[in-house]
Amino acid sequence: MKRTVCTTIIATLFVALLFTACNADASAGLFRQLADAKAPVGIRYRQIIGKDATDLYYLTDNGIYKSTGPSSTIVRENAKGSPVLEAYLDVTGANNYLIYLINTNDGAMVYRYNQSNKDDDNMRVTSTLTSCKIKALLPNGSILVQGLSGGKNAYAVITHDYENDTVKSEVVFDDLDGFALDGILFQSGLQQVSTNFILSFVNSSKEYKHFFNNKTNEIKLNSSLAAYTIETKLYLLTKNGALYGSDVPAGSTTATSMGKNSKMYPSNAFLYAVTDGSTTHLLTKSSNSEEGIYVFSFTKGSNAADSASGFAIKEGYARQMNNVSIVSAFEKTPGVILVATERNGMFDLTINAANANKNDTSNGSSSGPENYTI
Amino acid sequence: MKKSSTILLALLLLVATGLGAANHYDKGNQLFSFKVGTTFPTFTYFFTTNDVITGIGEDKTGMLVGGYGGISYQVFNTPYSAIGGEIGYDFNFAADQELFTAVPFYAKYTYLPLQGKWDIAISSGLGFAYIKYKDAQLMTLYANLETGFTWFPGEHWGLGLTTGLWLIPEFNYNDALKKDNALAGIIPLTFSVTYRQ
Repeated sequence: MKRTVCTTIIATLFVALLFTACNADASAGLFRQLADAKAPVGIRYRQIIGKDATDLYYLTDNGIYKSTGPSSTIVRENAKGSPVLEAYLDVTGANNYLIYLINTNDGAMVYRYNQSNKDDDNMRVTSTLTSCKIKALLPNGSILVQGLSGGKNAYAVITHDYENDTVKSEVVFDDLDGFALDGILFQSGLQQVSTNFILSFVNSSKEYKHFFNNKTNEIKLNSSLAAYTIETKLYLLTKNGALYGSDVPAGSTTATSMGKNSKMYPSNAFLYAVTDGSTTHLLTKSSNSEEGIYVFSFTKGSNAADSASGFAIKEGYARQMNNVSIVSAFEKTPGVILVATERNGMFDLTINAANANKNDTSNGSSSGPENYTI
Repeated sequence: MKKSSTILLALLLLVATGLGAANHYDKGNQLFSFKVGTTFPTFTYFFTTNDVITGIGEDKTGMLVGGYGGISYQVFNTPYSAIGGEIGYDFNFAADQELFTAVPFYAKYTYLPLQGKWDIAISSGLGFAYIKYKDAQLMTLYANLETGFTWFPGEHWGLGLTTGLWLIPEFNYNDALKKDNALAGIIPLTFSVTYRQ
């Protein structure tokens, strides 16, 4: 009896030993991840909408809020069953309209919310495309529509005058039969104010087309893009962690491979550029929320092949970026940004550009969650 | 010093009492136990940095108070000691509301210096635990040291209370993760129902 029990126990332990420590796929050690775990703040951020003279506006699962930093108030609560999906703060007129997109039974609709009289007005979005449907409200206020041009699949980016509810301009991306939208990319931190954007399309053969601002400015790169930024040159980050650089497109351009990491990035990943005058650092946040910030560094203005070096950063400005998912960013001044996370609140990041790729407190600092200033 | 001496003396007396007392069990008797209780994450020690973080919740071990259930089976190999094994399931929510789980299964040696209507047991366990949290999961080593008592109002069924310390190390083969190698300590507090024969 005793021998049988002992033999069984020893055999079980031996078999189990063969399977010990198979933690190869983890982004960090299990107990390290636990130690870094952060309590949710109870706010599910979706987007930092923009800032007027006094308030920062942001979108959560509950609706649109505005904040002075220390205190927040709700501006427009989501109606049951039709949450605001995307929003824009129009500070061009006198009314500081909030523009938002919701899904209805008739498809996506763009509304204008007047903060003074609380009116919600449906915007008349018109296009040169036929059979036109609204696809997205972009963070800079433009509206992306899909339809037909000359009987072929086409998209258009419409700049709308929200004060007068009229179309100001339209940029058409036509002749896209077989292609579907793969991404609408904006510069992290500047998406609320920048007129620049990249539209990416893909077909069933995994052929990609990337257009910068208009159809003439095509970027030749057959890979799915996660993010881009401009710092003297245009830098592109693919979803599989490759960094490419090119001149800012004026016509067709081909990007050069500058480096690659082994991380995966979501569409519209966080990608923020700082420069100390001689070196440019691109701060990135991968799909894996457990990872901190990964920085690509290279000579300012360069897009030379394989010229970027990579650095994993967890200290300083990245100290609180472990175990968070960044959903939106807002640049207060160059090197000082607000980042909104999916579940862990909003943070202030101050980046010391001279040491942005050093994994210590000399690279900057962060404050938060929810302890931010505007 | 005085306190330590008192505790040591009490332990010696307890052991002496046990050795001097008449045994209730014989070789071949068996114990079946069912346990439920709670677990208190106590510390995490990171080997490479020598950092020790203690306590429950955010900016500490990251784990919250959890729960444990287990079953054990032991056979007496002498009138005062039993060998066997235990398997259980532990869960602790983390500060981010994700779940940490551990399934320990281990060989167990128990010494019972006092036995009869009241059993006092000191046991040690050594084996493995499958642990999981978010994208990290591994089979790792497991050790524990526990003590407790069981009250038998009748001949066969008893109710007990046990506490101790679990030690769960994490050794990663992956170079990128070696810096996170650690040892976690968890204190259980469990109620048990035991059947003996």
